[in-house]
Amino acid sequence: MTGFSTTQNFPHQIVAPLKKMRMATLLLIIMTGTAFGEISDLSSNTDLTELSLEELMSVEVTSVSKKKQKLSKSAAAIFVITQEDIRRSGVTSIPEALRMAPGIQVARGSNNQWNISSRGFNERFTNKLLVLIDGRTVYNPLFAGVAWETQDTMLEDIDRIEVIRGPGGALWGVNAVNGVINIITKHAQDTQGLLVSGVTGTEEGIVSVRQGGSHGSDFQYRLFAKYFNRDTSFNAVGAHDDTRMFRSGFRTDWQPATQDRVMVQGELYTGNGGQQSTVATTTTFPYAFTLGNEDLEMSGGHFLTRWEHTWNSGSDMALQFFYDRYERRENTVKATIDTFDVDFQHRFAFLSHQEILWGLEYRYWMDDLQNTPGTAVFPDSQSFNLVSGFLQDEITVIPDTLIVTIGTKLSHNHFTGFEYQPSGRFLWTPMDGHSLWGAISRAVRVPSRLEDNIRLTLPANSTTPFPTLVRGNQSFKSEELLAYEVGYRLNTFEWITFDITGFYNQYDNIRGTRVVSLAPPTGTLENNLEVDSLGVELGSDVQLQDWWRIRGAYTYINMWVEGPINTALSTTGRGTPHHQGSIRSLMTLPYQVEFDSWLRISDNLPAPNIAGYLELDLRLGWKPWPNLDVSLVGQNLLDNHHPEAAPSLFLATQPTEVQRSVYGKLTWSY
Amino acid sequence: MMHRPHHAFGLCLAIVIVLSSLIWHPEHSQADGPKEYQIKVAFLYHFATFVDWPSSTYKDTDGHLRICIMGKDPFGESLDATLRTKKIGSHPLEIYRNPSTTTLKHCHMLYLAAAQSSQLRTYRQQYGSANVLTVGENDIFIQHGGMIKFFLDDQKVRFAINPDAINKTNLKVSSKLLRLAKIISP
Repeated sequence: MTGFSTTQNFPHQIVAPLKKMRMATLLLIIMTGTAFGEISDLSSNTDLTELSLEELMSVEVTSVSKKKQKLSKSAAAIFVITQEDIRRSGVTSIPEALRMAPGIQVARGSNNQWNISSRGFNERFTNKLLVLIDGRTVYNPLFAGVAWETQDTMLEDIDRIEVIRGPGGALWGVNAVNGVINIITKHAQDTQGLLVSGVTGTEEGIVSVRQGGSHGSDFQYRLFAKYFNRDTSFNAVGAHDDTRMFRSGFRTDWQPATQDRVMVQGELYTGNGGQQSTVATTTTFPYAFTLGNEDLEMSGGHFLTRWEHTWNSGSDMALQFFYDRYERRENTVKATIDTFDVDFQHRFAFLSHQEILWGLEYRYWMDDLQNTPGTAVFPDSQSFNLVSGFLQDEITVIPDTLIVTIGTKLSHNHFTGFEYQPSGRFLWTPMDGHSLWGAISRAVRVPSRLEDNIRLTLPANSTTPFPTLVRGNQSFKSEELLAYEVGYRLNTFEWITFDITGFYNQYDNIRGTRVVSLAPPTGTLENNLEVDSLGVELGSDVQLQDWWRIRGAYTYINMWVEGPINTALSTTGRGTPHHQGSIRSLMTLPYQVEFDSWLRISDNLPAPNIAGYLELDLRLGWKPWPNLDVSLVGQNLLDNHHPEAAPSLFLATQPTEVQRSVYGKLTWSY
Repeated sequence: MMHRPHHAFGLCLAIVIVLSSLIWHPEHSQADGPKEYQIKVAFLYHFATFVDWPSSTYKDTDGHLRICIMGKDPFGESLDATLRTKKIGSHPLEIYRNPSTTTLKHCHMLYLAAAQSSQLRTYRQQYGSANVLTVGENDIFIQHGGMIKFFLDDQKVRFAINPDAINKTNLKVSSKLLRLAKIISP
C-alpha cells in the first residue's frame, strides 16, 4: 500500500498554500480599505438622452439578468453550449451536445448507456459530476451519478447548457467534485406558438410537438410531447440496444408583480430498451451465469416549482421545491427512487463592495429495490436525508479589476455525517477583455447506496480469472479532492475569443477493491486509491467572416493512480483519453442555407484497449420560409461503426459501437 | 489528518468577513451603473431622432410624436421623467401606455414588452397601414414582423434592425442608425 505514505504528506502540501492565502487575505484587507476611491461615471441621475448612440452602446447595465451575464466573467472554467450550437451541430440528444465542451469526456456505451465525466474518471457509472436541469438535481443516489439514458427534453426548447469544469463544491452541491452541468430550458415566453419537428434517418426517428400560449401579459405556458425510437447499434455478437421513449411535459412562467416570478414545470416519461449482459443466477461459488439479451424498462417524472423575488435594493432570493421519481426494471437491477428537495437561496449586497450568497437545502430520498441472485442490496428499501448550507462572499477588491470569492458548503449526509467543502477564487481583469482567474477548492463525493451495502456476483473477466463476489463497505468514506485551477480568457476582439484552463487535482480515498478471501474469491470496496490528475483545456471561437465561424476545443488530461488497482472493478483512470479535440465550422450561406461540419478526435482509452477515433458530422440546413427549417445531417461519417466506451466490470453489460447515421429533419413553427 | 489545514481556511474566512465588514464606505454605497431600462429609454429617444415619419402622421407642424407602450411597462417613471420635456425637432413627445384601438392608429412608435412579442400581428391588424415604428425585445417579435429589437451583449444594450419590415412602410431610417445596428432578418 504505497498509497498511505503519500497521504501522510497531504497536510504539508495544503498548509503551504494556505499560509500564502492568509498573507493574501491581509493584503486583500489592506487593499479593500484603499481601493474604493473610484466612482462609477454614470450615476442614476444623469440624463442618458444626452449621450450619443455610440456612447449609450458602451454603457454597462445593471440588470436582473446580471446573474446570467456574470457567468462569462466568473472565476471558473465555464463553457456555454447555446441553442444555436445545439441546432447547428445536428445532435439529437443532450449527451451528444456535451461533446462540444472542452474538458468533458463523452462515450456512448450503447443507445441507452452514456459514460459522461468531467476531468476524467470516465466509466459506465461515472460519479463526481453534478447535473441540474432547470435547477433540479438529477442525482442517482444508487451509484452517485446520472442516469443519462432518461435525461432528455425537446432540444429546440433548451436555452443553453452551462458546463462548469472543476469543483463547484462550495456552491453547487455534494456531487460537484469534477464539474457541474447546468441545463436551462427556455422561458415560456420564448416558446410561444406551435412547433412541430420530425427526424427520420438510418438510426433513429424523432417526433416532437410543442404548443406555447399566454394568458394576459403576465402568464405564459408551453406543453410538449416527444417520442424517439433508436435502432439497434453494432456489436459483433448482436447489440440488442434498440431504445424508445415517450415523454410529455409542461412549463408555466408567471410574473404576478414586476419583482416576482413563479415557474412551475412537470414531466412524465416512459420507455424501454435492451442490453446484453452476463447475470449470475445462483448465489454459491462457482455460480451459474447466463449471457443474453435482456429488456429494460424506464419510467419516471418530476414536478418542480420555483419562486424568485427581487428587492428594489437589488438583492434577490429563490425558493424551490421539486419531486422526482425514477424507475428502472432489468434483470440485475429493479429500482424505484423518490426524491423530495427544498432549496432556498438569498443574495444581497453587503456594505458597498461585497455580495453575499447563502442557501439551505434539504433532500429526502426513498428507494425500493428488488434483489436478484447476482445483485442484492441490504436493506432492499431505505430512506435517507441530506441537509446542506452554503455561504459565499464575493468581494470586489478593485472595481472592474479584482474580485475575490470565498465560500464554503457544509452538509450532513446519511453515510459519512458532516462534510465541508471550502473554496477560494479570484478573478483579475487588468485590461478590458483579458481576465485571469485562479481557485483552490476542496470537494467531496459522498458514498453511494451501492458502495454502502451491495452484494454483487461478477463473472470472470480480464482482471480476475475467477467469478468473484464483491461486497459493499459500510465504513466506506467520502472520496476527497483538493483542486488547484488557473485560467485565462481573452475577449478583447469581436472576432475571436480564447480560453485556456489548467488544473492539478489531488484525490484521496478513491474507490478501489481489496481481496478479503480467495476461496471463494471475495472482494470488498475500499477507499484505497490515490489519484493525481493534471490537465489543460482550450476553447476558442473565431468569427473568420460575417458568414463563417469556427469553434474549437482541445482537452489534455493525465491521471496517476496509486494503490492496488489490478483487481476487478478498478477501471479508475482507464476510461479517459489523454487527448480529445473538436473543431466545428458554421457557415451561413446565401439563400438561407447553412453548412456546418464538426470534426472530433479522441485518443485511445488507456485500458482496456479501445482504439481512438476520428469522426465527422456534416449538416446542410435550409430555411426556405421563416417558419420552416429543413436539414440533412450525417453523423459519424468516417466509420461504419466505432467503439467509444470500455466494457464495465461493475455490471457486466456489453457496450455496443456507434454507427454511421444519416437523417433528415423538418421543423415547422407558427 | 486533514483537519488542521482546513481549520486555517475557516479562520481565514472568518477574518476576511469580520474585517471587511469593518470597512465602511457610505458615500459610495450606490456606485451602481444605470439600470437596463433607463438605457433603453434613451435608445427610444434616439430612435425617434433618427427615424423620419411622413408629415401626415402629425396633427400639425407642432404635433406630438407619440410613443406607445404595450403590455407591462418595464420602464416605469424613468420614461416620463426623461422624455416629458424632450422634443424631436418641433414635435414634443407624448407617452401612452396600453392605448385603445383608436389611439393605437396614431402611435408613431410602438414598444412591445417581451411578453407581448407574439401579439404584434394582432396590433398590426388594428393599426393597419399606419406608419408605426415597432420596437421589441426578442426574436419572436422579429419573426412576427417587428422592426427593431433590443439585445444585451456583455452587459451592454445593443439593437438589431430588420430592414425588410421597415421597407414595407414609408418610414425613413437614417444610415447612421443602420450602421450602428446589427442587421437581421426573421
